Amino acid sequence: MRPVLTIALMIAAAGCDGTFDMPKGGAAFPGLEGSTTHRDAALTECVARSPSTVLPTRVRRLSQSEYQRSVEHLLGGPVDTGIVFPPNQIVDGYDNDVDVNRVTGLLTSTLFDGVGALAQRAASSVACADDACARAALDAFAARAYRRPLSDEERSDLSQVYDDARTDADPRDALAAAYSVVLQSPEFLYVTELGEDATSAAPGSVVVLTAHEIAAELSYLFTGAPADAALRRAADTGAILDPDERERQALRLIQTDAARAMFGKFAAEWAEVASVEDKTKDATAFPEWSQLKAAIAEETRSFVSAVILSGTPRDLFTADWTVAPDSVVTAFGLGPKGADGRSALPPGMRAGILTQRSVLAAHAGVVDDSPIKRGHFVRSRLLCQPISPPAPTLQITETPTDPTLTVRERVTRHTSGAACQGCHSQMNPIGFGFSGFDAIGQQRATDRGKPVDATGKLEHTDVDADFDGLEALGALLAESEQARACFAEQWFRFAHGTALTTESERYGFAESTKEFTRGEQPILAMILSLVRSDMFTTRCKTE
Amino acid sequence: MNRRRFLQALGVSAASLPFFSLLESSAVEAATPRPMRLLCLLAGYGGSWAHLRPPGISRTTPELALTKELLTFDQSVLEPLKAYAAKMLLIEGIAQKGALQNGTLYSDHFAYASTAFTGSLAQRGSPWLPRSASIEQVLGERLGAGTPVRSLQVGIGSNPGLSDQVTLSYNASGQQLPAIRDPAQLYRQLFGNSGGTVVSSPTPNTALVAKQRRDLSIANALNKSAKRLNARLARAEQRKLDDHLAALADIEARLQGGASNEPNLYPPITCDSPTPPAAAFLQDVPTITNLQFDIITQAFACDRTRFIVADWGINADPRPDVLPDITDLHNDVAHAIDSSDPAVSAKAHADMAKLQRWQAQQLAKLLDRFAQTPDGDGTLLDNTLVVWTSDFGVTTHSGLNVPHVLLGGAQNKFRMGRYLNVAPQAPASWYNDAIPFMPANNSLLVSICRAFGLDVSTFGEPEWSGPLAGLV
Repeated sequence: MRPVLTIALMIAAAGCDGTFDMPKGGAAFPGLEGSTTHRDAALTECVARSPSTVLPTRVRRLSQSEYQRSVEHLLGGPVDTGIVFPPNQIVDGYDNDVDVNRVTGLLTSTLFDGVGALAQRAASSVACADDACARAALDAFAARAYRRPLSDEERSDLSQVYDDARTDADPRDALAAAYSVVLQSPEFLYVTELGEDATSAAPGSVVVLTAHEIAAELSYLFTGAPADAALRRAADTGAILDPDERERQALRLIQTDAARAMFGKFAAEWAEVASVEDKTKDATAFPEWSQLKAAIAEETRSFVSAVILSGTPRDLFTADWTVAPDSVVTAFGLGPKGADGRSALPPGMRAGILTQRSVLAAHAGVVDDSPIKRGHFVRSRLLCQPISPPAPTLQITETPTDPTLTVRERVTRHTSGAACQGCHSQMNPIGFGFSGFDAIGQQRATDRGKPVDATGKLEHTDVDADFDGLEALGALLAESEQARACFAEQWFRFAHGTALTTESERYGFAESTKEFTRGEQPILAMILSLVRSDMFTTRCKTE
Repeated sequence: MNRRRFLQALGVSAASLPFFSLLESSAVEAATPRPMRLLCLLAGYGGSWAHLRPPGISRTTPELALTKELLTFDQSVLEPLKAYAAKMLLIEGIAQKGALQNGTLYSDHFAYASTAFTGSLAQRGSPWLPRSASIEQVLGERLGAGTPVRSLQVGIGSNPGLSDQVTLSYNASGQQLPAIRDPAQLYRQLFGNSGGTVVSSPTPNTALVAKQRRDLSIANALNKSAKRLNARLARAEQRKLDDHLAALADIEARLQGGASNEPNLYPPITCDSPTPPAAAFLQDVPTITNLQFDIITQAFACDRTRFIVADWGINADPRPDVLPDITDLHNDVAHAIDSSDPAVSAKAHADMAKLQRWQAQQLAKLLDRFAQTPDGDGTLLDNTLVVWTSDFGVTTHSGLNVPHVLLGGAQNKFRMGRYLNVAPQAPASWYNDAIPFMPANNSLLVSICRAFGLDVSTFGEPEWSGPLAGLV
């Protein structure tokens, strides 16, 4: 193996810059970092008074994919919109942050230039020869797009566009002009969570979302698409305001392929494997990587989806099965696929998310595994204890690596400085537990000819212990309330596009997910209980 | 590549606008028919001054004329650009002061990225953020009227999750703006779904006028809708819609003939649709460089945009095309540069120089393209300023003496064809004690703004003000 030069990180100033806070397990923990949502005093007080309401009134922009699905929904079939949104910005590992994903100047002009063709297509399928018919079609189209009935003002504005166009065009062509407005209107592009009368509610008061807003929330969360006919009916009649009805609708949506894809997306973002297919691995050491990477990414999406749909947090950390494409089953000699799509895992790999190959490969280098990245993964994604990057006042000196050292030995040596240990003592002992797995997630018994040492240590959690290997680590995490609470918070982050940042929000959320955190409540039950709750249907009015 | 025909659009309202200066003090020369363009490229991980600086230049040489001969020496980084020696300005002595922390200029990629083109103080965080806008944003806002895309951030082959993929573009609130990394996406953003621009020739005026009227009606309705929604939002939420509202207002104003404040001073250009790019793996730096450079050239030529910043990946994963034995550029090369072992350091310098030399080759091809593209009375090269820089300077993670290479004709706003040391008084060590003697990159940004006709004396952090001495 070619010797690889590595770095010795010597942090000149005193260790981590003080933003790393490790509260004892069980108590409230820092929560996910990076949220940019404004939290004003009125909001904080509102949440404190009404803990089940943890979100502020807000709007969010449709994502590229939601826009695509929404346009298809309106046009009644598959369509290449040709509209390219700005690339999503990743915050906390999730690409749907409600604050940073905006309608940029670029997107505005792209839409302006691009929706004409879509509007023509939509109008051409309308069989209208006169104005009355066209106006009715316009009203229906806009109401579908805006996800609610139109206001008089909106109707009048669209009518104006129709009339203007009508001076030199036939009804269908004029309709296309009005449709152009709808397909790029802010009312279409932004999903609102404002309640019925946004302006009159006092700042700091709790507002109830409209039935249509709730329907949109439900459908975009579980299917990434607008409400279907059944859900629209539940919104029109107001039935969606009833928690039982909401749960019924949610369960119905969750059975769809679209929901499976959404859970898979959550899986990839939560586990930081969304870009594992972009990772380069040494072609000499791992010639199979380029064939393998897509399949193992698919495996993790399927596995986590399956656990969400029918499992518990315990399964997340200790499952002795996986759901994998045939190529993976064959390549690694997994057990034959059962009727439920599951394959049994061999001994040593029975630790759920921890032994998912894509997780191991994503948190590794080109040639070598990375105890640091894996330890960081457990801390930040499974325990919600983020660790800040090193302080900028670092001096980097390079030392040639002894090629006979194992990865564990090398990392230990290079992070042994007192200033490094501030952060690395929180990550490395966990990451060393992953030593039995190489850079593409294959099990190994030796590293550079020496037997693998996969002993590790969990500290600053509610399940502190020494452990040996990932199955032992998984067993510990399966007992951890902190890990369960973290998972719930990760789900929240994915579902609502924002982090919980204040004490009162975290308290409110913890209250709402109490049963899940403490017991063995299945994951799906937790998700549905949130759908049933006020968290789903109310917001605190901001200033 | 399609042969482009440049047409003057006849009878379009913009062409009949009176020529008037939008500038407070500096006059737009009425004889300049084409706008000046800006392309800023930041290629990470610093480089090797020893291979950049022509031999014979001492620490205190204030300036030296560049010639082909001077740029030709062993492992010279700039040699591939020697044909453009007269249109090159190699600037030594700039410090990225926005990344200062407690008097030390030793920071990380993201801190430098947040200050390189903003001149702002880099705010520590995850991510590092500036407090003000980047230069292409500012120029786009002031001078981008009439182009479909006022300004842009492009990504060229950088690797996500590694420190060579950085954000260089920020709005006025210091928020990150997205980069377009996929050439197919860049093409679509700039040339639209239909691939064309306003009209193809010949087109009867009536159709154009009718389209404009319809577009105006649509824009008007959109503006009403946006304002209505905005009124329902809390203050903090309204900020989210700022860019959207501004863009809608912009579109409406443009359609109204660019009436009051924002005329397009330049006659519009229409182009045939350029060829869409082939699909490519986004971390294939050579291919992506070629594709993105091509689209940028065409976008400038067709006046689809005028102001671009780009992060140019050197790709910390293996670069077999340039450095066949290196598997980890970040660690094996960039961090080996400041090794205490002189042999290791020397090799790292040489390797980094090889990489920069490769970049210079790509830039030479880009300048060739610019030089072959007619633009008004001259060429695109005459009317473009390219700024090629990095995050690191004298050594890895140091913001001292970050190299800045200016290229292009830049409408003769700068005296090109020179090596320029803007900190000849700085101590030889280029360490923290040199900082007071070194201008901040802010000064360069001020000078660039002035070259574009904006009369400013600060850019970004006002503490470091004034233009960069010696450029004009």
